[in-house]
Amino acid sequence: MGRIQIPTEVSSNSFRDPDGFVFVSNGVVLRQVNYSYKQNYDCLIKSGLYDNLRKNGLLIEHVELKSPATPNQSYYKILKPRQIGFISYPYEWSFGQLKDAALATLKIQRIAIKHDMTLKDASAYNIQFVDGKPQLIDTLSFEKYDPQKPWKPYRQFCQHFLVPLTLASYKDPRLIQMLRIFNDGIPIEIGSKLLPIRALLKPSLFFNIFTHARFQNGSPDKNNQSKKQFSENALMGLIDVLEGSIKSLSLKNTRSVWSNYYKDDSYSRTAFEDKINIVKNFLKVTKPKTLWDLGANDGTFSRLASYQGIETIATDNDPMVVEFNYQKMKSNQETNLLPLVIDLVSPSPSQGFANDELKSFFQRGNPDMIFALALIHHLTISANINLDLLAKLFNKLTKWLVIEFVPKSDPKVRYMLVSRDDIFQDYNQQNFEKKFESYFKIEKKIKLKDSQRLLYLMIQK
Amino acid sequence: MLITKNAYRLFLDITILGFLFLSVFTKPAYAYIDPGSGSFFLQMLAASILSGLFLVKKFWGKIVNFFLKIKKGRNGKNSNTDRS
Repeated sequence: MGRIQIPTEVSSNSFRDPDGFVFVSNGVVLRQVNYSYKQNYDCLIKSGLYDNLRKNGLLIEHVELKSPATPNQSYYKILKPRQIGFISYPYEWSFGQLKDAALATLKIQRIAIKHDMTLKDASAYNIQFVDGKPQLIDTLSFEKYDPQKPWKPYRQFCQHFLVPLTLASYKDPRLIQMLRIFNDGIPIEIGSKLLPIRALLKPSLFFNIFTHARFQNGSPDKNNQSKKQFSENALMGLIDVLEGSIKSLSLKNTRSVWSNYYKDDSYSRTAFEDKINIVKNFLKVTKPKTLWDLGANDGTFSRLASYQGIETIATDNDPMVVEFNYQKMKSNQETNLLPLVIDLVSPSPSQGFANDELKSFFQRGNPDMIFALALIHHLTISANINLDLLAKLFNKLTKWLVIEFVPKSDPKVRYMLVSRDDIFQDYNQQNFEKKFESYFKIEKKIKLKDSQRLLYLMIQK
Repeated sequence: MLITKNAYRLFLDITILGFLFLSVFTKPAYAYIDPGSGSFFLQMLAASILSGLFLVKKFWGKIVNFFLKIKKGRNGKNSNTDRS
């Protein structure tokens, strides 16, 4: 991988942990372990915790690299972790993804205790979906366990996992996206105010959210403080209570507008099968390695790619269809698919400290191919985004574009125009081709059988 | 088995409710502190109950067996009396 280039300045997206940092050298993501973390790092390896978690698929694998020629003052080790194709953020996850990430965090904590170590933080951002499963990617999250001390990341765990999941379960799954505003998790007091009384009737939620919220504004009166110390049994009790709370949460069976998209009158059987065959053929010709299916719904078309080993991200703005997609992926034990909640009209921005800590959705990758199937009529007619802007955006992102044009005569578009004035005079096949040909070369153009719709294979100009 | 599970849940709920009763009447002192400290104190305050919950869960099987044995013993005695 060539000579390691260690940055001389602290990066604005890996600065919080004094025990190490992540950096990119020659296109490879590396992690420096600082000397201050030596004891904990050695314990992680020697205690067998690293091996245990790695074997259980709960911690990212890494190899230790040789010492660089000019190590910095704080250097202890440089690790090369397994490279992850795409970093996703908790506000882009569905309910099931956040729930599984929470349970994985608690499982990691349980295993850590057996090796005399504990998690020093429980950030949802430290979990990534690798091969379809939640995995801790921050190797420096552990420290030596002191049974007399309470669980340090308790508040963080509640804010990053318990509060958003409870709000999603009792109120609305879209509330998980509040994590986009509250980057360090939804404040417990807000969760406590927003939750219905019936949630607080559940003792574990009353304790972990309502009572916990009361303690956020102050410490108990010193006179009332007991002199007792914490213990391992108390910690295990806390983990049990948190795990019980998380496991008991579920989504109400909310039917979304999109959940029956392929079953309603949008497609005839013939058109649907024809579309599958055409898309398969486009994949065969172009052989992409990475793909984003934008507006993927339940991931029917994403799977044409992911089943061939193509690293596929399936986005939709509806958390319920993303949840459906995730549960399907989980039950099939699929490994190349990552469903995410992304609203293309307002995708995840770059934010956090210096607007650089968390990258925007589009900053995090340039896939070889994008699917925009049955998508652009929603963006143009529902969100007034013109075809030129869309063509320009796709051109910046990808080499290959598979795009479907749905004309105004299509039942779906007619339905969309029932409730609004048709101000979309430019929305026609001729103008669509003209606009996209400014940014792409049309390689193939096929009309679907038994439908007015057209499928295009385009290549970036 | 279902009965033991439900009984454990009931025990869990009663114990936590007991704690909640205490916690509601514990007044936090409103001074400027790091919010993390509140979470720290809450855990300290609940330490005994959390320990209790864990130990009961750990030994729940043994506790149930103990009571089942007593019950069986009594039933055994009763059935002997019946026969005589």
